Amino acid sequence: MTSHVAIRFDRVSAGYGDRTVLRDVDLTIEAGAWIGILGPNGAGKSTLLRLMTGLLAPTAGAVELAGRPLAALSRDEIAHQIAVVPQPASLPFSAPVESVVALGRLPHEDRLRGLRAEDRMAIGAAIERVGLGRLVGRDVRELSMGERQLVLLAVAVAQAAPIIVLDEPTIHLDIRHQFEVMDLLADLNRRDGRTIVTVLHDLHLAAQRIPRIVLAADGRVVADGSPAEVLDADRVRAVFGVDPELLPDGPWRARSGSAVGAHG
Amino acid sequence: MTGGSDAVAARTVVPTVGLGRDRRPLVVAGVGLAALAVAVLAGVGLGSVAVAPGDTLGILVHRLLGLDVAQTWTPTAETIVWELRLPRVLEAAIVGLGLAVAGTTFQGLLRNPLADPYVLGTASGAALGAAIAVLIPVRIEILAFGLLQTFAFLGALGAVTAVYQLSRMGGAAPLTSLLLTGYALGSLLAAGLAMAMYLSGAALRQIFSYLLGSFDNASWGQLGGAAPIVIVASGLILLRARSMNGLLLGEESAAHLGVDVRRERAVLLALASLITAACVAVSGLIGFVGLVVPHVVRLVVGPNARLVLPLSAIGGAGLMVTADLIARLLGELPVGVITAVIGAPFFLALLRRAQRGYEL
Repeated sequence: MTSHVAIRFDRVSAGYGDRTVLRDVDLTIEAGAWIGILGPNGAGKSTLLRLMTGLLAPTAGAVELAGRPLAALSRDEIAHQIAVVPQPASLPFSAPVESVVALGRLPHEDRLRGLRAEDRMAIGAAIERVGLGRLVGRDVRELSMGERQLVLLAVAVAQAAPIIVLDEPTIHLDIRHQFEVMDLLADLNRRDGRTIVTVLHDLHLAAQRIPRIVLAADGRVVADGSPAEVLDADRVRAVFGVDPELLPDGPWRARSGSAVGAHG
Repeated sequence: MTGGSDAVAARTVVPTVGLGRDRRPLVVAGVGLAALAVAVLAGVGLGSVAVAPGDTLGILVHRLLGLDVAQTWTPTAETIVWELRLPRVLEAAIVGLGLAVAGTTFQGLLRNPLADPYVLGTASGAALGAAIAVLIPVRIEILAFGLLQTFAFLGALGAVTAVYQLSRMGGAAPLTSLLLTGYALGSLLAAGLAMAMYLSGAALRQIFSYLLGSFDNASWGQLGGAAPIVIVASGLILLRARSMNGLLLGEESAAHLGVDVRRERAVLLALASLITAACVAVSGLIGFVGLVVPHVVRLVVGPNARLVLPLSAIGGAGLMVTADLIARLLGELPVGVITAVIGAPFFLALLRRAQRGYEL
């Protein structure tokens, strides 16, 4: 049975060794939603991602993926549900762009025979959709960090999982590619109905493009709602420790209007 | 009519240009197998007593297939070919195959282009085992494996097991921890080896020739011990090519792509170590084959382990048979010297050719 909830955190605490990083987090991400996770460094954003992708087990509480406890799923089952776009890592060997994108088909490929025709189609389509056609044949290790980030995005598109989780997908990109990636995510969300979870640092980009914002601070979720509800001036000042007046235009500027907007 | 649908099909295929079934791996495999066959025939026919190529083939066909071939050769030639050279050539092929597969596996698993089959302590463990065996004045045989082969095999496996267990206690990231533990334990065992050599007196030469590697003692019995281990373990590694591909992007990415990293790492490590131990037991320490061959193959066909593993196996076998033949023709030089002399300049040339060089 498919559930209408893609990911659910139920009073989750987690940490590394003796250090607790997240406390009592409740979070529900509906199938087909697009959420942005914001928060200062050390707020626990990466830990949230590691929990929802099963790399880290909670010390208390439970994480559910499509209605099933994550702890009971194999890596293969998780890979059919969630594709992850990590930060670019170095590769030990040279590898052409298309053979890296092909890794997105790992959960689907035949164990003995490898890639089949439909896998090759999906790889080609992913390369096309992310706009990497001009990079086919190039060694990934020769590419810029931004281009490598796009290659990893294409891996996730080729993986064809209903949920895509992205860790700072725009951090190495120039402004045009930032917009293009946000357009692509919007398209994957609306047209393909994929659930998208994005960790971002750029408040402005998040407020402009992502319908729902989860704000993390100090190991807790402190606000959850539309950008206008979550990113008001007082909260931005309190959580990020900056004067919102210094930021480009965003919900934090609309001082008196934000309360009305949030309830209207 | 069909022209229209063909045009549509052609258009959908456009983005996959360069992604279709590449014929290059098949060509490389064909050329490699042909070269290997030539090397095996040359290895069996050439030597201090040359056997004509026709006679060599005749003996092989006669003994292998039991066909009634007109016997144009002397019984001595048959003994040389069948009892001395063929087991030696096949042992060289098996060891070359094994070291290349193990090298590919260790490089992929440790995500380190400098890794070779000996990187996690197998070499120093085997060497110490061999040295101790030389110092023990008892001669026994277990399934055609002498004391030296048995101790080398156990030393290699013991060392890599210790490295794996010790690395899991460390706080560092598992891969770094494995490499550093391998280095540390390797140094310790090397000290033990140095001590054993110091104490060995007249047996020093025997230890030394083990360290340089050779196929002088090859026999059907030894081959029968090593070959099944190498072939079965290599086949099992090939079945896990998918996991090795996932590791290209790192351990976390591999997990996201559905690879059970902890289990796969343990299994691949065990299989590659078993292959290495079987190889070093029968041949001693032969360098460069396990390091260089996988890199050459990757430069030709890319990083896909599904192709790199079988092609490295063919290349490793061919290179080792050739190196052993050269070593024999030059008057029984240690084969490890030949692989180093061939391998090192080749590797340097590759490094220069790779456009940006290897990021280490």
